[in-house]
Amino acid sequence: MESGPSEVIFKKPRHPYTLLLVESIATLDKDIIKGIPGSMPDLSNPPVGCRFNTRCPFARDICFKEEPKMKAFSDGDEVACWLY
Amino acid sequence: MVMRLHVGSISDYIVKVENLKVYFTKSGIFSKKYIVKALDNVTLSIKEKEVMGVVGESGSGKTTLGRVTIGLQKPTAGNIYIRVDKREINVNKAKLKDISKYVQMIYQDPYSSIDPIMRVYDVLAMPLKYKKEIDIDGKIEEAMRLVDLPLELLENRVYQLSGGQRQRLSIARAIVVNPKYIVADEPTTMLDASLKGEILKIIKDARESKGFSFMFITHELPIAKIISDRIAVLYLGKVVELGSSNEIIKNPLHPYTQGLIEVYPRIDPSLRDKMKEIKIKVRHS
Repeated sequence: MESGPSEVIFKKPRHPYTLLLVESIATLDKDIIKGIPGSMPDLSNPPVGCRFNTRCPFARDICFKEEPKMKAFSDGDEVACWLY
Repeated sequence: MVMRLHVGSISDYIVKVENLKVYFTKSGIFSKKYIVKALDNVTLSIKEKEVMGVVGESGSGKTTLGRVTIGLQKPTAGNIYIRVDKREINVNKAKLKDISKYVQMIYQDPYSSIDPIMRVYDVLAMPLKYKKEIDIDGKIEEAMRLVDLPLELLENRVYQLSGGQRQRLSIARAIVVNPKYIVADEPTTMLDASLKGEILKIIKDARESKGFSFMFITHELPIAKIISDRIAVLYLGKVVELGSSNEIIKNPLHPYTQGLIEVYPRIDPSLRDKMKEIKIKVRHS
């Protein structure tokens, strides 16, 4: 879904899945942690299009039709998401 | 023990632990007998609707404390009282089967704490049958709703559930008998980060809507801070600091608490090389 330098992954993740994962880590300055709603889809029958579309808060029509391709950014980050 | 004075009176307690001592005798065939003081003079109380976080390293006595307060382990000395409808029950003297409707436990590992070949319905029905509950189906439905599990799962076997679903089920099994006091022993430790938040929310909601009191045992300080009203820091069988969660985290007084907070990893990668010096020193004798 996303791969890049640790600084990017933790400070400004691009993929909604990475963002939700980082947000669900409990740290001492947080008063609440949200977690990712829903549960993992069945791997023997994965969703069509982007695999995260069932739990993504930003999912649009295209996300349910076509699988996004990896896109590279100048900071070394690579993301497979239709937002970019 | 470092104790802050304004943490409230202990007259409105649900659980009261007084001068609790749990000693284990260790001996081998050839070695001499020696005594392990798992808990040594622990005194604390948990109020109605309160979540008391218990933190400390492995071996500090957290789980022993939890087990003793619900009667699963007999203390060497000291008393534990649970208040139910203005009655005070001495946990040491009561029979486990008589107090199990007031006290419950949620375990760390949802894979070993529930019989995998049982039906989900039976997991929840069994404690209700012991309690001689009449409206079994109604109580089961309510518990499933509270832990956010779909009712269709009731006919499934436990081995068909995912880890997160199993932990929800073990929470449902604890709350289905409508107890007064629940010990949650590291209920989020085996779960990945995306599920921890959900489990914490379920416990918070159950506390709000049903008024349970919790002892929440964890070695993850951030989790203790998020869920607890007060935190007790345990070290080698003694409570070294007790106070409101925010104060313990913001202004820890005991050097051990300060050490626990400082060793917790920060997720900001730029802090990677700025390791703080920990003030705890090892003294060799």
